[in-house]
Amino acid sequence: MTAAVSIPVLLSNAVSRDAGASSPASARDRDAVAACQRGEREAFDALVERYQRDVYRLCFRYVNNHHDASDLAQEAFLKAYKAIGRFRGDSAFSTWLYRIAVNTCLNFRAARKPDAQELPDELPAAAPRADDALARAERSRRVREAVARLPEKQRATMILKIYQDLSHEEVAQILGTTVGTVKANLFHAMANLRKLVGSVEEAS
Amino acid sequence: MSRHLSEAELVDWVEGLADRGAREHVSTCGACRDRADAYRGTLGLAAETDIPEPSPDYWETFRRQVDHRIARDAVRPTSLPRWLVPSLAGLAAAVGVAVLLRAPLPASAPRPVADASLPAWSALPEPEDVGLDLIQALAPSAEDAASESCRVAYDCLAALSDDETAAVAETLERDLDGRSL
Ligand SMILES: [Zn+2]
Repeated sequence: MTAAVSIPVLLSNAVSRDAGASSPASARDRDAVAACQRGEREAFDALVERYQRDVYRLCFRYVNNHHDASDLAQEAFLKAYKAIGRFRGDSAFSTWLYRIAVNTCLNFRAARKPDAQELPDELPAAAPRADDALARAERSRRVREAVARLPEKQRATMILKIYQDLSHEEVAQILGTTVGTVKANLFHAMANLRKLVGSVEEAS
Repeated sequence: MSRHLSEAELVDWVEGLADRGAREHVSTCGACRDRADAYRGTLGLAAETDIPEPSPDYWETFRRQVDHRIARDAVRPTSLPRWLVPSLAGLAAAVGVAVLLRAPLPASAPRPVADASLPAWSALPEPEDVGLDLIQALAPSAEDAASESCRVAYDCLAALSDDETAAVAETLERDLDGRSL
């Protein structure tokens, strides 16, 4: 039998650029980084414009609110600007930028609140809604809350793989781990998420 | 393959990347197929979860704010996380010192400085780029969570002894790059 089963990941959330090493996007990034390193400030504006939405969305997945997501995304770009002089191009610029964003979010969470490192009880059952759009919005909210309760590594892996649509290799680079660990963390993240929102899954 | 698939192998199977041995195993093993199906189903549920989209006008504001922060940072080159600054300012007040940060804004942002001695992955000032494991280790534990006294940096810092406070103040002074405390 065949095992070719496609992943049901929505591409609407995926980053639109081509992150391949020789793609036009990565060539543009390299040029912009080089210009930044020469002190051309406007070149960084172009990078911000290119990645602001992805970085914001990554941060939002961590904090689940616009205000903090916006603040953290700006913080990530500020750190990237300050550190861009030592970016050597060993990875894609986007990979490097995401690592900064993930670190910024982790630091924020560590400083702000003692988030659960263990799985809590299942979330309270959602109120039934007749309207499909409302039901979907409610389901999304509950999944976001459940994601926020995942253990740190599982959450980071899930956000980068599913919501930023990065490859296993890119996620491994960003998190400083192996591809095998990324896959195992992703599998465990889905198992834990299932426990937390099991009732939603059945309802859908 | 006579054993059940590992988690990573199941992920490969769902993505159509499993080797022949794994494919043959799943074709005859209900347990592995069930685990893979459950994983795939939850993946779909997670993937269709969207987040609120800011208005199109927001991004222009976002870029202006990044610009502003880069310019502002030119006179406040601190490696401290932004959200810690209010806490540390509170500490400074508590030990009876004033932080003087009244230098004029610069006309342009600073040029980033290359530091070849750092690895490419050192994206952040070194104290912050400690990696996921260390960040996790530094996160408050469940016991800390139960203790209200250590919930935010300010509380932790306020609980320091006089000697410890003096040491932190000295570190702050260094961090603030010579501006007097
Ligand atoms: Zn099996």
